[in-house]
Amino acid sequence: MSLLDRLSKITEHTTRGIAQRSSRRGFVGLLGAVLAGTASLPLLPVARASSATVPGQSTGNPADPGDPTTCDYWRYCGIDGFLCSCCGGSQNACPPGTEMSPITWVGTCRNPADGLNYVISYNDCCGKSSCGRCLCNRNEDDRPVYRPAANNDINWCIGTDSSVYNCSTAVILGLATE
Amino acid sequence: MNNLVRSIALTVMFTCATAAAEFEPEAIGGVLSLPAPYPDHWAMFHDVSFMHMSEGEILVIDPLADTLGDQYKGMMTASLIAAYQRSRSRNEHYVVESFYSRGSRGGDRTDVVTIYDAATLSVSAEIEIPAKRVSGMPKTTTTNLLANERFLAIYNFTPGQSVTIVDLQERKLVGEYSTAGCGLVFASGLASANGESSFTSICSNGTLLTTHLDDTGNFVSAEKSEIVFDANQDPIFETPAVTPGMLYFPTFSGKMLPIDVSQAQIEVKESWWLTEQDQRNWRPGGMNLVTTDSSGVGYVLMHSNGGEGTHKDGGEQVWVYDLQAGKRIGQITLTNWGLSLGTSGSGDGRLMFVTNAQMAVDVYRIPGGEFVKTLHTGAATPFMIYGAN
Repeated sequence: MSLLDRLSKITEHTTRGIAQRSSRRGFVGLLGAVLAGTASLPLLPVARASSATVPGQSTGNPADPGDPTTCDYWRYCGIDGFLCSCCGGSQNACPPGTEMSPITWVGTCRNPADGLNYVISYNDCCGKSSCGRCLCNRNEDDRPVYRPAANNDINWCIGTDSSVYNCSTAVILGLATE
Repeated sequence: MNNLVRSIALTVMFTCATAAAEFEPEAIGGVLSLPAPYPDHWAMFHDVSFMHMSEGEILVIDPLADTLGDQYKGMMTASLIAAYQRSRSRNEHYVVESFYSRGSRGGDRTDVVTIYDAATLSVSAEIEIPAKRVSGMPKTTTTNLLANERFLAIYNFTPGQSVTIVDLQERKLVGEYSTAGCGLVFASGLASANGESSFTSICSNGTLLTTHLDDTGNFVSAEKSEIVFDANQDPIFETPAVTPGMLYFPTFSGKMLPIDVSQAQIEVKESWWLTEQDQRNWRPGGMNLVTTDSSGVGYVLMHSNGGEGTHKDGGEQVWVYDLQAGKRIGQITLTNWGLSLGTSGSGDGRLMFVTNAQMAVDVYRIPGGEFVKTLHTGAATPFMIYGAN
């Protein structure tokens, strides 16, 4: 059984237990709270739970496939945080009134549309408290905190007016060279 | 009507008289305090309050109490994913935290070491430090106590890397020393004489940087080791298992790297596998994924089908180790999927805490692993748990 399957079972188990006592909407909120900050948990179960309440969406660009409000969107292979696409921003822009961190770490993700690897910059948006929606944690190529250029545990709200973290973006910098 | 009023008045008087007979007047302004020291099975649960980071809390919990009221002993605030240490000799808690003059909107940032009296949970002192402390997911090595708990070392990341030294005895800031290229901080030179001390940081190229301080906490010298691990292919986790004079760092692939920190010159020992040859798909993972109990037994959170990118996944089992012998001595199958570990207690009263995937805390007796209970303390995100022992 894959990790995702196991975590889905956890989610299902929780779903059954809580659904007996609360509404679906209440459960989704609680699940978000339960998994919030579990930077260790792949958050696809949350994405599934969320997508059950609202229609999915797409970038509208066949070369950039997927739903930027879900954790399995291709650019998010190393992201850790609340997806700005769910927070008033987008996959590459911050929500109104926040400030994008000028520095961060970069990862490399494979675009399923063309099979090529792209360098992704995971800039955080700062200056308002946690968005609290669509938490997503994937750790491909993530390395420990003592290698900051490859770490997503660091709050990258650095060089901004406030280091208070709101959400995370995934900005394409260009094709990765082998 | 007059009769009715008279009747009501008599009823009220009778009621008051009855109440006065049954209750002694109670004092206004009562505030409880805690025993000193705490019973050694108690624990501090750090709720980083991930959804509202300026509202973090550190709860003092009696995990074996039966009732909710008896379990929750008190609380300290801990702003913006604070770091935490405690001194048994001074019976104090240290919360390294940050504040903004306009809250989450920003303004002037102030970083402080807030010192709590452990018995009263009131603030006994506050020491302002450079507003540079690292911000991010909590790790046990973002701060550390040095020189028999005299100094507190705090890792800074701006992204310039340095360590701030605070004199807890004199209640003052001592200095800030560069650790360029190296991060985090753990105590080394534990057997140093004359009050001298040292701390070691982990460098991005797989070396270790050790900084030596004099008896007042001032910089003396620093030196780097050879490359002692592969920082890209098989990095060590940020958090070690700690026994007196020794640190044991798990690696992503499932090895354990022992480092002797008892002397001023650290000594890296030969690594050993956590897993057998046919178990290499079992990997360590989680937040605080490794810990020791008061007897020095090691505990590692493990998951099956591990590989690239699974190092924060937590696990379904905790593997138990004789760290000195480099040998597994037990295997605990968890009741719920685990994300972070802590321990408390001593002797036959040792306990392990596992923050589970539902963000409740499961309690086990160790080293055997008998499940005791699940604690629901009200903490939304109790990522780190520290024993009182």
